[in-house]
Amino acid sequence: MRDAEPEKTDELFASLIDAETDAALARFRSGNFEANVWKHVKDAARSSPKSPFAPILARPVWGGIAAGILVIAVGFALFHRPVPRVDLARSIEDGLRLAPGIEALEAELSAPDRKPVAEPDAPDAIRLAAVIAGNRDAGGARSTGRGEEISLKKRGLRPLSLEEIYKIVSIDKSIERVLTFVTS
Amino acid sequence: MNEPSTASGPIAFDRLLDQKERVFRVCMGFSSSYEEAEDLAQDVYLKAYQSYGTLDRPELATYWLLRIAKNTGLDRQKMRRRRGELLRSWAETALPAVTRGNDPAPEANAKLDAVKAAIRRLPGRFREVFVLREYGRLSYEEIARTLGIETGTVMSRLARSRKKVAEAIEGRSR
Repeated sequence: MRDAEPEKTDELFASLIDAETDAALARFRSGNFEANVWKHVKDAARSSPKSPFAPILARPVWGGIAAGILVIAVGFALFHRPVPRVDLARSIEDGLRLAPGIEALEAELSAPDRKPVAEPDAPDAIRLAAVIAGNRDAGGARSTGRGEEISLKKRGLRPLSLEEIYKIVSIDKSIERVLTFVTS
Repeated sequence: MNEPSTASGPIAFDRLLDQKERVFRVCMGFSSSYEEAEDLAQDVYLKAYQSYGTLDRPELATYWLLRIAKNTGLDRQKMRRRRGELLRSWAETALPAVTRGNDPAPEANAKLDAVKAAIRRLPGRFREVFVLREYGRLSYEEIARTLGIETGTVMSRLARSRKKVAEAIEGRSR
């Protein structure tokens, strides 16, 4: 197998190295190298991971991340409660109810003997209040008499000013538009 | 045992074991003792077993195996050098394969120590050629195939490595 070597050094190397390797080979041949190889191969085959993810998960970083995700998933499954569905129209309506003047309007409209409210010196306001009341009154009788005003005062309610009435009407319209938009 | 499927047909792992003496020789070139060489050869076969599924040309199985031996040997030396163990253990235990106590020629041992020390100091690309040639007893063509280089490159690297080793030995003998 060796080629011819012209160099002198080759003889030196060859004699020294050959002597070493020949002695080692004699020992090698008397040993059970092949049996040991098969033993190692079988051990390696036995300890080889079954799962293709096993080598990845064996790394501390990825194993830690996988364990963290698992813990989060289990925690979520155990402690998660479904959030109640938000009724958007309802919540907007509730928000708008906080606007000033709405309560007074509602109190008036929901009163059992509700009548149009008017100020004695404000005929436009009387008409406007009558309109507000009339929407829920299904075209009921329009009464603007002095008697209703007196009964209102008797119940401890202050008659609304024109400005307040406008405010209420505008808020009412806003609510109506929003609800119409949301529910349509 | 398992047989890898290849384009040219299956290769039995047993066939690779036919090359065990040659592999052991190469391992001797990268080792400082018989025990280390045998351990290295075991490593080589274990690596070969783990990756022989990737061997697609059975006719080159021997060169593939010798390349594993060369790489494993160089890696082992690098690892030992990094740990700072190589110099110390080589100086203390750089024995020829036979036990030193039974050897009647201490002068030959000193020369062999010098050769081994010189080999160890060679750069990797020269060391691998030298070991494959002097220990593995491969021809120039076989070395070229094993390393994937030209035959002329093998010859030039071998010449330079021999010169370096000779200089080291001569320097020590002076």
